[in-house]
Amino acid sequence: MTDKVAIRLLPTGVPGLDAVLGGGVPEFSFNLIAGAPGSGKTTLAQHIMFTLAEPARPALYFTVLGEPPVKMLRYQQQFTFFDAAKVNNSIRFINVAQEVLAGGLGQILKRIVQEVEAASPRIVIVDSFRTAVRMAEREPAGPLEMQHFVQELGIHLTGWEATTFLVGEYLSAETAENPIFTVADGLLWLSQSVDRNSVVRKMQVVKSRGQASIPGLHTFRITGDGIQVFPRVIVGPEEKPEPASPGGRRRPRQRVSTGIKPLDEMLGGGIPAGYSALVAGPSGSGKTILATEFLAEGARRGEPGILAIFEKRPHEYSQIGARGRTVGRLVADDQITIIQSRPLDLSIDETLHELTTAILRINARRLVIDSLSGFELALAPTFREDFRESLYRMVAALTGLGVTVMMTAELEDSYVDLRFSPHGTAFLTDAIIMQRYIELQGELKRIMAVVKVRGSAHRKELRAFEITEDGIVVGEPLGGYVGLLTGQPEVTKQTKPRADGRSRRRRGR
Amino acid sequence: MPMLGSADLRQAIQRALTQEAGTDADAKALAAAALRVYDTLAGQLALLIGEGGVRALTARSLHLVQRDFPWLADAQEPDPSEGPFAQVGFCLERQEPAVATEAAAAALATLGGLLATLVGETLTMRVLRAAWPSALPDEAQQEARNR
Repeated sequence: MTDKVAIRLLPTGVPGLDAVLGGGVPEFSFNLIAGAPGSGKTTLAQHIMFTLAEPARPALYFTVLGEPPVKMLRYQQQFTFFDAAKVNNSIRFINVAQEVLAGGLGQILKRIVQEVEAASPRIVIVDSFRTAVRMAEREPAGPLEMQHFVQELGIHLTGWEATTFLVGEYLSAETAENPIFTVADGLLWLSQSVDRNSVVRKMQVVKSRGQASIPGLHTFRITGDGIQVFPRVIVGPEEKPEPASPGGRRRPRQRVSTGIKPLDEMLGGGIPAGYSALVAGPSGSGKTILATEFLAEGARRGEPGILAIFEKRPHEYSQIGARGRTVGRLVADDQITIIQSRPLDLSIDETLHELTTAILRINARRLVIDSLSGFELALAPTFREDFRESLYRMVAALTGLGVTVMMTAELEDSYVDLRFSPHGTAFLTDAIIMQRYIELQGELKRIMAVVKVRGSAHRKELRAFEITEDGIVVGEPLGGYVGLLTGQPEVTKQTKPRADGRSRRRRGR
Repeated sequence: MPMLGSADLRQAIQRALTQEAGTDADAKALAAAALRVYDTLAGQLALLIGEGGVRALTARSLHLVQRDFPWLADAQEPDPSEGPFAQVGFCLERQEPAVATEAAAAALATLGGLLATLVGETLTMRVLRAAWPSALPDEAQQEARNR
């Protein structure tokens, strides 16, 4: 038997915040929401308050000096969480500016205590608490009086069973020697990161007494619905063990067909399920076509797919040829879901949240990201700097859901080196399919090869392919040449191959 | 439900004033009643938007209502400690009771309308109802009353 006190966690109603906090806000805790002006503190506090407040759990919102209350009410009611029916019912706004001007900290404390004892609120918010701090700073016994004030407030509000949020304007350099940071049970720090002409909002749980919060900076957005937090995804070391059979022996991982039979053969039977595959090649080499074939094949097999596009527009996938019409039909039939993100201030976590939501909604088994270059451009500059690390986290999280991911990456054709992705991101993927242009007997040809399939045998041959009205048609291995990757191959003396490398139509299903 | 800025709201406030002053009240009694009715609203409003906010909105409302009742500007130099509505009382005392009631109701309705412009009708009606529950019953109270 345990006699430990059970701390109830209150769900904040702010999407993503409970995960960051480790389950919610501990009941009767004393919290500080801090950050620079405009960082979203008041919006966050009110979003939480309007969610939590109900007749059985009334809330008091004390406005001190700071944002004029009329303006605060005017702007906050634009958010969908602002329920005017709760005002003067389960939520009471109380302005204590008069006490601030008349008597300082003692008067503010007296008024708050008086109102709390009269209303027995379960939620108390003091906005902006920084005003009180500034007052204390002007007084001779400032720091001591401030400490006393904060402690009294904390003790009283917890004693009256209130969960409290103090809202204060602070700069990150001010954390040291501030009594409020010591007394607070929870400390949420909001900031805006400015990089070139993009602004990204971030949130950090600096302190969370007794809670296993998610460390690090979490991006968030403010929309008409209030705050949406995108918890930073943390993944452990990547492990892709083969599933164990009842006898304890490893069963081979299931394979996912690309929709192009010869390519499946080159991959050793398809892409292993839950793997990430990179299709790398120069502009126009057929990466997007291969990726849409992969999704169309999934749809044929009853595996819903997601097409996350960061470069082209949705109609560009469904307008051209029979393949385009197929994609259009599959999108119309909800077998393929298109997610289009083109803002230039995305974070990896926001993208991951959007993808994960869609994956779970349609139970997707396949996902295409077209393309990595477009995706990188869509990210805010601050996230481009650690693109590799972010991509690693995202790919690991997506494949962790059991989804097979195909990503396209555009590369400039180079005949003096062999690269598979910009920024060295190729090592993050489990499989790599390379596409290139070569000159063959005076004609420009496309060739394809499987460079890597982690933990699996695969063919190493180079094969020419064509893009036809019906999709990708792969030819026989180009065995009769040397120097294919230089772009100018030569025929070996022993053989005389066909110029197109084709021996038969290779689009078996 | 009386709509803000509508004749309904003015009438509701007039009823509140008459109720407060009593029937056949003279202008002086009406002026005192108007001050009390205003003070009740100001108390509720101050909780929400602070005393500074109440002072600013009241001053703006009086400025607006003086277009219809120019004599409301005829007050002596107001005493800042008494608040902006004190001069209204001074002016109302010098009018016929009916005119005083009409002007006071117009001033208070303008204040309500101004608040609605800034914080929305729903929130404003909640404050007005909290201040003058008998003049502005909510739907549930109205229904109970009609039964």
